[in-house]
Amino acid sequence: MEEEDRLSSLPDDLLHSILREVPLKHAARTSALSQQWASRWLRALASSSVIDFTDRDFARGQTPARAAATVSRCLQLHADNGAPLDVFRVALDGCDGAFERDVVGWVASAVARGAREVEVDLTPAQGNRAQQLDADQYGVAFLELPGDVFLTENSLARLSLDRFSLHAVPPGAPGLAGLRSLSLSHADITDDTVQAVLSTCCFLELLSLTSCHLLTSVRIAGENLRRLELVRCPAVQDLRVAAPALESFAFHGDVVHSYSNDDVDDRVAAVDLGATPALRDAYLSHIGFGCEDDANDMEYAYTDFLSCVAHAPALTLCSVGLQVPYISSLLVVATCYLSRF
Amino acid sequence: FCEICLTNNCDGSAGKIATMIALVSSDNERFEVSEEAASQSQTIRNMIEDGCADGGIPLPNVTSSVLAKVLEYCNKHAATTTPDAASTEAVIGSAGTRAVLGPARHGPVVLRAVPCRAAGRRCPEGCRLDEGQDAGADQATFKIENDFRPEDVEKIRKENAWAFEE
Repeated sequence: MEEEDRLSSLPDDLLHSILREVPLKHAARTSALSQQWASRWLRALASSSVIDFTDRDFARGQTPARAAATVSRCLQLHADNGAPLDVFRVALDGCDGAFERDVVGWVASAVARGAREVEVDLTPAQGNRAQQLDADQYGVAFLELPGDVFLTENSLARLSLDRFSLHAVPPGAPGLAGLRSLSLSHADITDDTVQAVLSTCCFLELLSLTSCHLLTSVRIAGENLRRLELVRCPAVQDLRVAAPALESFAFHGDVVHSYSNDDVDDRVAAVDLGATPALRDAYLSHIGFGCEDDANDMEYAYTDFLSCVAHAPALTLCSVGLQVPYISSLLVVATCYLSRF
Repeated sequence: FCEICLTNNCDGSAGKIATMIALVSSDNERFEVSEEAASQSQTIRNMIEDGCADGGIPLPNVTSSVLAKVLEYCNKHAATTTPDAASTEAVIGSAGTRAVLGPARHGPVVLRAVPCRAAGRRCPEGCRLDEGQDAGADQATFKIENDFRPEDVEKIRKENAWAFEE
């Protein structure tokens, strides 16, 4: 039997495609095989149009600075190859000043190189949800995205950013106009900006806003909007939506009150989702918000919401002490969670 | 039921005389190969034996450039293998959906194209690299020469420490 290393002598593109198929961790281990293999796994990633560093082992097992250095190296190799970049996804466990510029540079570079999808997640993965809620209020470190990133038209269809400040980005920027999916988490976006962005992104099908502390009175209008999520935005007091194509709706936040004068007939609905004939599923939760001692609040917790989403075939309610006095016939084909978190 | 010998208990020998099999790459290029060469892939062999090879075997996850290389290799080795050669040396293949590494069926090292989805079958073999064996085992299995100096290996392991943790 010949003692020949037939594996290493396989063509590069074959080896690269093998390395891309296995979990990132195992691909990275091949770096210890021999000098030829030392950077092969990284070059395998760099030879694909999809660069995905969202593997949680990659983020958790090393300092964010180290992880960022690897991502930068991979992007550089990719640029050297001159290959097209279609998808760029990264998840890091936090971000400190040291490599902030690099991360911002990744986004700018990916967009400039024609990526259809860019996702950067900088929130450390938290096991304990309570801890996460605390983290939401403190230590909200923003990376500033410069205004010129979206200055020109581009191929971007899906954008997901966590812990970026977008206040330098004009909401009407041409580079945002083609978006189909927008997810912002821990962003300093205001009510006005949301409205402005939505009028720019007329093709938007998915909008997800998580932990956006500046939102209070949210107005969402989108002809093509199919999925809307408003999660843990603690200051939201009222919500008005005009999305006739809406199929999926999720809200996790404080009890949204109706406010009224003393005259009960004068109640002003705090939530208006408009006509949503296509609504398939709705998820409502106020766990972790509001004051549990105030049982009266709970009585009104979902009144407005429920009347808006009652026609959805799948309805999920997460609550403590939920009362539903105003609902007579309601088709609920899902589980009601009544528990303390 | 075998449509070649028209019996229910075909032993696969009837259709084997000088048969050429067509393999069709993802970009629709047809590659005519001898059945013997193609049979070095366990999966393709299964398909041939089940009579599914008529009209060509589609390999939607393999491009023509990759397939050409694989077939060059198979053609080269078809003639030199002996059917009963037992071998434990590794087998490498790639078909876009899976890297297949497992014991060779014929001869020392055989390339297998595994069109998992095309054949509608589950891959019979497991994925070795997937098991995360340590470098030493991979080096031994694939006969990869470790040309690192000890300090260099340490450096690499440190750089990618996250990958070597369990």
